[in-house]
Amino acid sequence: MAFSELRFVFVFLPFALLLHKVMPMKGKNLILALLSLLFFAWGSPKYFALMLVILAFNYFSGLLIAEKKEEENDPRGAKYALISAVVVNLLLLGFFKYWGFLLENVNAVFKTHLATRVTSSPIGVSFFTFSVLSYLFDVYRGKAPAQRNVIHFTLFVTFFPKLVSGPIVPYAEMEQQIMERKIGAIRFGRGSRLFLIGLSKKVLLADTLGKTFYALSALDPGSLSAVSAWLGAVCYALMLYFDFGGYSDMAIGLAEMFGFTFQKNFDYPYMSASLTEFWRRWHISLGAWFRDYVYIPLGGSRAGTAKTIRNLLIVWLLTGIWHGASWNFVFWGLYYGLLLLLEKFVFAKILEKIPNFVRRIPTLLLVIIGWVFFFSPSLGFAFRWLGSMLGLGAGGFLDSTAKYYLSGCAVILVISAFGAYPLAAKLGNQTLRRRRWPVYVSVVWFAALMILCIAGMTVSTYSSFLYFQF
Amino acid sequence: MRSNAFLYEIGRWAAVVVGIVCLIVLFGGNSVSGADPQEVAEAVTSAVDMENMQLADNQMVKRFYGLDPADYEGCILYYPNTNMMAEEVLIVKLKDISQQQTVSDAIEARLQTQKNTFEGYGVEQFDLLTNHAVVELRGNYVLFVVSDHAEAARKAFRGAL
Repeated sequence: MAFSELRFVFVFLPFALLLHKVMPMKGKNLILALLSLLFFAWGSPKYFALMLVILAFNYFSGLLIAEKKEEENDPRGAKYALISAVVVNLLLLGFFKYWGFLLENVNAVFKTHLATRVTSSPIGVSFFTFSVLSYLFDVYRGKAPAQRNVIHFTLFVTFFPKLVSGPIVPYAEMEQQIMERKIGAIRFGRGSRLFLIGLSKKVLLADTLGKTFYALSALDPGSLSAVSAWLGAVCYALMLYFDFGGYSDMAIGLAEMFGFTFQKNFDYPYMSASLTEFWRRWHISLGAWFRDYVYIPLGGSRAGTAKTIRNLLIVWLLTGIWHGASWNFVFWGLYYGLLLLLEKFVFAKILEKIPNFVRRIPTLLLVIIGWVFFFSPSLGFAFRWLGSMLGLGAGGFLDSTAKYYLSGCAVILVISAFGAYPLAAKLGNQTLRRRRWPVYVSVVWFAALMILCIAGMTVSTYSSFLYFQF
Repeated sequence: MRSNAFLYEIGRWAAVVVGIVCLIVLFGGNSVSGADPQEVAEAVTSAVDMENMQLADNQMVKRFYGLDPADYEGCILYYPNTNMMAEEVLIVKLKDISQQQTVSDAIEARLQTQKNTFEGYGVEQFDLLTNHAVVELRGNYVLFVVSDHAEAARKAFRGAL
């Protein structure tokens, strides 16, 4: 069940809010945990029992790590408990995400006919596995105590706003909020406003841009003209941002409605003046997870140049693989790994001398090229698309297809490009918060957005979020 | 204070055991097969008397089952030589296990149509359709056989996956 579906907005959410509202403070965590399990069961009914098992395994593992460290003063025992728990979680994630990919490559190399298709995965498996791993690491490092309350633990792992596509909230950040949080009308209002903004990004912008992108990507990439190929790539870049950024806004807004504060997951990534900056602004919670639980434990950048290079390549290889089991994601991860190394070690001094607004252009171009690998079903498709972007495709530089699609999406493209930069939000906030304008102007504006979103949700066929696949 | 580590250790490994059972239940009987549909069809048809059947093209599959073979990884149908016969063999290799339901519904509908056709006047055919029809869903493969040798076909089908 996606947040942009009518049954979520008009059935599940009001039901959840009502139950949460009428429940006394002591029972709010219980009701949220049950609602989250219901949400999971709705999306992945056949994996419900497995989810309960995953919860039990990690609940006991956390307690075991803490017990070994604190009560028995047995660091080796704690390390064993941690490593075995991490291995079990990664094996399960690997089974659902990478088993098919592994067998596909075995078949290709050894000419075998092993089964390659793996059935659907539990919803949010990549995200809740990373949440659980953060819990185990935090308990092991003593950053947070083990959670003895089963309800609180269940809520941390399955909390429905973040269950399916994050943000990946570290345990240490959420633990205190589970125990104590403020719930009130102002927070509720702030949360619902953010939810509505996210919904608008998804339904009004991302889904509209998607129509052009999907139409172009259905064509043979080698037949595209340069303008068509660039148009497709730019539409995808904006669509992905408004899709996943919108989803993140909705998740953070929902959490806020229930009294939780999550850090932002996107911070205008397309205004970045370097790729390093881009990855500080794009999917922030995933970048932070890899930084805190992989890069820094490996030694980060403090163990000499050779180890820094190794650590960066490991992190980017893992980032690529995390997104999906196919070679184009591996390539995409290494593409960023190598570019970031060049940025850090080769071009750092040159880049310092170039003004920010100039550096933004090559950064944006490299990001758009990176998305071609990201959206392509295979590496061959990606290179043919890139060839067309360079004008090597059968369509030349500009053809009638490009003109047709460009004229069809020009308006939404301009609006989206404007919305991808902070100026739009700044102008919007300034306009709505003018003192001489009564508060109902803001209410009317958001009510209008809501009506447009409902219209969009009603007329469009079901459109999932792009990041659900990860 | 007595340590609870042992209990926690037991608890989590018990969870692993239950988890493995869950995975076996979910995937064990429904594992996907990489077998080639043509090879599976050869195994099945060698176990059945094919004298009264002929190979169908895509149009016939659409006509009889309402299924588009292009939606599947493989779809092989042998249908009766004449309208007076009821023997039939269908083998479908799915692209995704979620397609099981659609194919299963289509087979049920076809079986019902055939029963309605022969009920009342085609005693032998109606008996075949009622007592010698096999529908087998195994992972990404679906088998439908109407034949005196339906059980043998089922065994051959299982052996070929």
